[in-house]
Amino acid sequence: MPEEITIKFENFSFSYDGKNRILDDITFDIRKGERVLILGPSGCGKSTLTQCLNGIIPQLIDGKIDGNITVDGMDVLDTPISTLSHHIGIVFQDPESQFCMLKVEDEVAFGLENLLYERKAMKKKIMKSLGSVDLLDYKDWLLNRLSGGMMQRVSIASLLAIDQEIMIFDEPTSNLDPRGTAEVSDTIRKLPENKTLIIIEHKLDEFIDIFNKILLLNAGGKLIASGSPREIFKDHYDELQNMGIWIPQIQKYIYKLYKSGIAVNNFPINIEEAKTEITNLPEREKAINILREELRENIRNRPAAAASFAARPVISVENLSHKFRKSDNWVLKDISFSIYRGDFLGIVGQNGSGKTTLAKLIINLYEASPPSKIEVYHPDKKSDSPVKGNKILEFTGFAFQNPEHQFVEDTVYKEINYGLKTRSLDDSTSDLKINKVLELLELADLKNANPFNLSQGQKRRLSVASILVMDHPILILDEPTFGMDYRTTASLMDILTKLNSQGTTIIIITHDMNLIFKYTNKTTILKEGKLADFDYTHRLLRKTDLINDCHLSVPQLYRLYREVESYAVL
Amino acid sequence: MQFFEYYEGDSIIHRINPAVKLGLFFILMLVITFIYDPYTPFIFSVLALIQITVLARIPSRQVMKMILPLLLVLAGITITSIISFNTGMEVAPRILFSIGKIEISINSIKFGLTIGLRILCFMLYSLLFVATTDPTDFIISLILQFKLSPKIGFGTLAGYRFVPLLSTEYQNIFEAHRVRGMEERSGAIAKIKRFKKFAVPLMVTAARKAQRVAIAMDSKCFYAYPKRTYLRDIRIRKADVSYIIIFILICAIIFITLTWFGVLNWGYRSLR
Repeated sequence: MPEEITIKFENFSFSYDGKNRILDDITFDIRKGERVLILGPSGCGKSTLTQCLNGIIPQLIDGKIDGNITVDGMDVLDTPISTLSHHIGIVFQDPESQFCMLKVEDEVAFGLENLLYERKAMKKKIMKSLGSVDLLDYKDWLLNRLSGGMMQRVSIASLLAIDQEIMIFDEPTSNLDPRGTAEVSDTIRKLPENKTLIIIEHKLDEFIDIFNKILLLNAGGKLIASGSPREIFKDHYDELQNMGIWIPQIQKYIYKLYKSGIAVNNFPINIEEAKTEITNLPEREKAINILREELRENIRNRPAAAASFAARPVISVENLSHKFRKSDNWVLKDISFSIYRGDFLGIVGQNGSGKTTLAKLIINLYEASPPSKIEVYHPDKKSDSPVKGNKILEFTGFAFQNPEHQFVEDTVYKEINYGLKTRSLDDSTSDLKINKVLELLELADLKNANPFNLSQGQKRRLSVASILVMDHPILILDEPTFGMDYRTTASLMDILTKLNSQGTTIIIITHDMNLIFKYTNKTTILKEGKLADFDYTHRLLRKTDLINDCHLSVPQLYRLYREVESYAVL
Repeated sequence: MQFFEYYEGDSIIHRINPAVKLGLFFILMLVITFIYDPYTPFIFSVLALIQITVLARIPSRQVMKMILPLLLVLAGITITSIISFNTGMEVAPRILFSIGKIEISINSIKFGLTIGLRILCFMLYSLLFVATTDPTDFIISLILQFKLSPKIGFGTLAGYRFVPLLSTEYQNIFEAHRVRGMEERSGAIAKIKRFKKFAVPLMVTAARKAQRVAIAMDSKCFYAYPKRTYLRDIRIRKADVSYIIIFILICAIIFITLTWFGVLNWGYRSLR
């Protein structure tokens, strides 16, 4: 018997200004206990949709509304937030800014206090909900001392405590490292079956098997499809791709099989299903060949393109150690590696493992503790002495993690021009350069916009643009693709690859292992401030223990490949 | 420099209701403001120090770390007060020496020490309060015992969490601008200009975080009912009543003794 309907959207439209509809004529039902993924390109109104659900729109944020939403029979537009909040809870994207208490236990208690629980019942509930997210031992900890993944689990626990039947997750893992992502997706997977889950997420590799329904929105805020993940990936693949949505590698591969005439029965969702399907195929050999092709596309296996001037490196780090204050612990300890002109280095490791600090030490923002030795050479000059101090920044571009921090001007155009001003170029030359970069990063229409008014992805592209325009021979980018969709990520990475093949030395810091394997030729892995490994990236594929030990992952395609090939050998 | 901060512990003083501590210390400080002799604030400073180190068991190294930098400021204030004391108002000034036109009398020294020790006294009681009071307990006792609105109380707690976050944010922005080639000029105008550039991203972040927290609180049923319950059991207990009585008794003994010996002076005019 189908479960009762709990959420109902009827011809619902919303716009902030009364003209541009963010959501356009949306109609759908969600049944009790369903696990729903809301999928769509960035800016398609996914977050707006969830805000409409719990009454934040229109009760806290104003706008023009048509149509109806009901939750458990209540008209959302007329029911106060305080009533709706008994039924719907949200876990937000930024783990840090959703708490109002200082300690874990108090935070979980907050909702219960609002609902007038007695102290004894409250304590019982807190233990139970912290237990179900495996955080009982952290009951008395300060929230500030938890990792991002743990904070998200506290947030889940505090919703479990008040027992709302609908839980919304607004990009719960986008701020987390791979380990945190795995923790949170495991926690979500284990949530009680009677909860209705609505999840917005970009990176689906870890999540895809959780859902039994996907709602697909397009850029205009229209609902264009709704169905099981299998149906959506099978029947709407081209639309997904055109909208720039991240498609998990497995689904990409399966679709490719379809295209080349290999009929896979039940569109597989995870590695296990894919393995079973492929090993049972009559055209197994052909399917595995296609898998190899895909792997070659997703794992870089070629050396750095441009040769070095001499045997001397561009950046050489020797016995690097660093702490911020004498009494602190070491942030980095005994790190040594060097890279050469034309290298594309990836730095990976958990949050707090010292990645950003390492990058900042390289550009001399901080002073390393003796006897550390960091040497940076100009890649295009023959000089044998390293460049010192602030001079490093004259030929090194550095993009910060949060693009907003770097903004100094009030329009996009001026922002890109800011660095060029020091170059004493004539106006037409710099104008040409700026327009080229604007074009390249799809920002041309936003020339006169204020940087702070851009979307997250646009801000990221702007910060990259302001660095690219300088034509630096060394680029260091901290989380360059954070918050960007598949299409803009791919186009940014293509630009970087092209520069790299022309000899630009590039360092990226990222959590995205697919990016590491596809684009970089060398990787530095940090673990708790120590160098866990420095090697050619493709060699990491075989270092399974190391990868697991550092809570990293190899691409899903490669995991699938290992599965089906070992089977073939048997 | 390290600011006064909560030092986790389970001492007698830690367990006293924050509202009680706040009330007692506040009244004592108010009284001390009207006293113009150096002995009284000195004795009460000693009383505070005893409570900090012996009763609350806060390591003296910790106390030193928080107090030492402030002692310098204190010395400055004392000297300025000595110099600024108007000997002309004294009936029979006993001048010790003079620097140019400025005459320093015994009462000048007395006045300077009074002001200095008074501020030391304020500092020590603030330290005693802050170091022994869990911020969450403090806010909840303000709500329960002083009838502060929970809206303001919980809003303050949420804001308190942001203080360290914003200071990291400031550091990040500073570095980001340096990387972009911000002029490192010193001087007031350059500093103000720089602050303007920093203020925008800082305020954008703060406003965004504030809105998010507000939404998060609402979606956890904040003010679903006009009333609320509390996990932390913060009441005025017997121990609090005993503390109040003992504290007042000791203060009374000190006041009476000092008056008996004729060293306790009320009001500025007592220095005539």
